[in-house]
Amino acid sequence: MKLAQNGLVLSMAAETGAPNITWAVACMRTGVLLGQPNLASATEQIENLAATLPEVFGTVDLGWLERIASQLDSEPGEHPCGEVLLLSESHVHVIEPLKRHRGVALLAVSSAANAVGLVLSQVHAQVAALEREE
Amino acid sequence: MNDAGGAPSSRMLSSIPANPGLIAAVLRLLDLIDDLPRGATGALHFGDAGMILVESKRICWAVARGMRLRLTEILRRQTTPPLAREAVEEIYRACKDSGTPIGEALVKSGVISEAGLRAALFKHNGEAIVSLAQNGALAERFVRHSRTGYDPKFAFSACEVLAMLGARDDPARAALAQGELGSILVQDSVGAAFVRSGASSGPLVIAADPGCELSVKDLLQACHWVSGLFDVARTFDPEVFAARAALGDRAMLVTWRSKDVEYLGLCSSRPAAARLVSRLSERSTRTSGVMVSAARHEKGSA
Repeated sequence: MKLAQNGLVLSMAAETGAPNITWAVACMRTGVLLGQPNLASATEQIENLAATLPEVFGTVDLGWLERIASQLDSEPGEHPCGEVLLLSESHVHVIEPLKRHRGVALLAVSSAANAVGLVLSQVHAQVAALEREE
Repeated sequence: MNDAGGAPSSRMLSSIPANPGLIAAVLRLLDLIDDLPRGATGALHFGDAGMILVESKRICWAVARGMRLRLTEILRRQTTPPLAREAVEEIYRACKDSGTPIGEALVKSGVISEAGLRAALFKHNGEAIVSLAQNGALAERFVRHSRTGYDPKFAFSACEVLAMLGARDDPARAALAQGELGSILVQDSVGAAFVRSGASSGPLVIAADPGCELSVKDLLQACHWVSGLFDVARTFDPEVFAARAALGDRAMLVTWRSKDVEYLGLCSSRPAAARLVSRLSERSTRTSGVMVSAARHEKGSA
């Protein structure tokens, strides 16, 4: 994986058999993309997903999330709400808040709706790579 | 009541209308129970208006002044035809002498099933709580009990009571939602179903898994949040049918929509969430397949 000059735009080498995934990084507070997606053809999809971030994560009080997590014996994470996965008939959308870049999330969209595990596996690899980058 | 010991049918509360004022009053009352310290066991007294017995925040018994039906009468009607009044009263007298709870004595004697007893207690306690709420009863004090021992099978969470009231809006829809929860939820998960309704200012919870022990406030907040999540997701992908969110290091929230009902599944482990999502995906694929096949068939016939 390589980062572009601004350090936030992602690109991914094509891997044999890997699902086609569009990536980008966005600000969770404003929903603004912090760079161009790796696949220009899917820019609109990623922009739309990014636009949901303030709504999804900008709720005034997320204390209920922490209380529910605690009731389910789950240790609190960096953010009360971590990875969000949206499943549709034709797409998988992933929002993955970054731990080392607070307020920033990796967004991914793939048409491999029947290969959620593979998509998530690649998302997690991308996040790990991003978190290693300064 | 379903066979698995789920929430009893809402149809048993035909006398109770679900209006916004009443729902708000019941919510205030359930908040009192949720706000008790963890593990609190005792009686919440409402002066001479009635009282609610709780054990670890689960409602074991409730009574209100002027209730229309007594438990013995509700128990009689758990069978078709109703049990003979004399038979129930005889067991009642024996229980009074021995100090045995009448419901458990009826189950032991084989007169009613456990499911029947649970349904009867649910109806009785639900009627009592609604009656307390309707009368604006004020909690005066909570008297702790040092002894515990209510059978958890016959105690109810605040979420269940809330769902029982919400189910009044459309009992058939609520029964379907309860069935959906029973068929989709997996081990290590609990859940609830809700709709957006004019009967309440926010989500109207219409079904709840018996194991759902969230506070009603947190449950309603979660319902609000997943509603918003679906709304925004469907602005760019109208085919979104399910979502999953990580809560901390292990727990996950899974949500899905079916017809006009929204569902919430809370999983205490990632594997449980994976199984739940897998079930939803399989069903979605099957449904899509059927729809495509049907469309093709219709096209071919035309």
